[in-house]
Amino acid sequence: MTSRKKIYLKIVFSISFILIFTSCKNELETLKITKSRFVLVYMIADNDLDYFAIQNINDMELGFKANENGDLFVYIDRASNTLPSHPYLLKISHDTTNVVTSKIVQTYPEQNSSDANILKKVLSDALLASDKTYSSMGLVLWSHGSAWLPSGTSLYSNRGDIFDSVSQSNRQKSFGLDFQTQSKYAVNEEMDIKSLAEVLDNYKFEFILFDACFMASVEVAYELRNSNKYFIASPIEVLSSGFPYNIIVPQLFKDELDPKSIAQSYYNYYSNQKGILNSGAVCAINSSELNELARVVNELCSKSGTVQIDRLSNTLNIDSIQQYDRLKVGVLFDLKQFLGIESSAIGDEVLKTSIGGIWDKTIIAEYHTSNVLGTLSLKNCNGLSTFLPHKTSINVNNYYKTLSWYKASGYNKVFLDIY
Amino acid sequence: MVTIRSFWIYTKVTVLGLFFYSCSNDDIKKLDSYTVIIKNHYFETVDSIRIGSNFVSVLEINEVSQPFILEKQQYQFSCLTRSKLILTAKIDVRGSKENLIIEVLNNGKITLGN
Repeated sequence: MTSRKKIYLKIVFSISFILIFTSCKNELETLKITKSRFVLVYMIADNDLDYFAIQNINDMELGFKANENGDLFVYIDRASNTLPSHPYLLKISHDTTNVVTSKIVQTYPEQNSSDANILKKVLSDALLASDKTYSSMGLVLWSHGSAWLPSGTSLYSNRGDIFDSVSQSNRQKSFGLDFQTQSKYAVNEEMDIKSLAEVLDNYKFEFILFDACFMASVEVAYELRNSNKYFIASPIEVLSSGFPYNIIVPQLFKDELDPKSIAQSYYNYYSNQKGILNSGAVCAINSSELNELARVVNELCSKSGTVQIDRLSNTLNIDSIQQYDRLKVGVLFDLKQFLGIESSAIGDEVLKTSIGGIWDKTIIAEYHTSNVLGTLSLKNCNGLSTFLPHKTSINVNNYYKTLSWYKASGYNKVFLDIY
Repeated sequence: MVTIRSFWIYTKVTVLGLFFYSCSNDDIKKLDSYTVIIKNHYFETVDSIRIGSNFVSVLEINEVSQPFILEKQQYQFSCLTRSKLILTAKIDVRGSKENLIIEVLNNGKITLGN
């Protein structure tokens, strides 16, 4: 090869070399990932809450701005007397009218939306329907709720309807009420908290928010602790209007989520209502502290000895502990109050201080009105409920023993007379 | 004079020439019209099906329409579900296959295949 040819080839290679790295540099610059959030609202409205579901979607359209930093999807399974009654997935767009105008991106045949596997599929479908990658995700679970309770037990709630029939189903139930047959009380399917935790285990949501009654229960929060950073829920009934989505939707998309602010917005909305509608309680939990909370509670239980729960006991009279359902059926008690009573009973001030410190790190916000619907006082409300196992039906206690909180908290060392 | 080196160069050129020649031959037929059917895989009956000026009244679940002819172009497809949802899509009728199938899928999406 002549020297001229060699020089020529060297020049060609040099120019190509420069061009390659120049173009690569340009491509790298355009691949910057912007902070954006994917939020799914999963609405099991195939029940008496259907009307309120549509109202809430309208509020979401109002609150979701066109330049919002992310995408909001809503899966809704509506009541059988609506059109369409089969479930569908909406991608929310901004709108100020009273009509839902957001586009349906996918439809589903009638299905049991209380099946946790359906939730898993819908999450996947919604992510596929979007054309972006997200830096974080959020989940809102919307329906009736009954904390961690198993089948055969219902809590009195005025949300949507006065509904306190007892399910004839032998299935576990914790969240979500999906009427499946012609008669709305015939066969009701609800989602078991353990199943929910299982399908969400591969996700790490920035938040899980329950727009459902009684879900601020330590048993629920603990079961779901690995799938979220913040847990927001109410320990009492949530009124039919639910969360004020026109106000909180923008908050759900903030780069740095502020769960305290979200909880406060919920409280402000209800504390400004008149009469019996001045009724609301909410807490926001830092889920990463729940393991530590379980540890100190376990330490307390180890020192407590056996605890007898009844109305005659001087140490733990359940009538003295805040309950969260209006009929006070002895299922949902205030956790902090219980811990305070027990730590005082054993006289361990160091442990008591430790529990207080962990509590403040775990419950980052708690707000409540003075009562629930003008009846149940919330004088000793601290935002998070717990079950105190006692002599009750076998179904409840046997199921309770299967929950992660039961062993982690040391309740198994304390409540020995349950059967 | 043909040397071994020039022989390989000529071989490479010949092979490359044959490659590009065969690629440049177009065996794919160019079509101007297609025979189309519509299949309903949706979980409800669909009706008021319209594509271009073609109209299909009702398709029950899993039913297939009678075939009809479409010219090569883009069409707006729409149909109405029993639950009164309107499903729409832009269909690009083109390709090398004479017979095409428009499918209304179970999730409400509409696809074109053959």
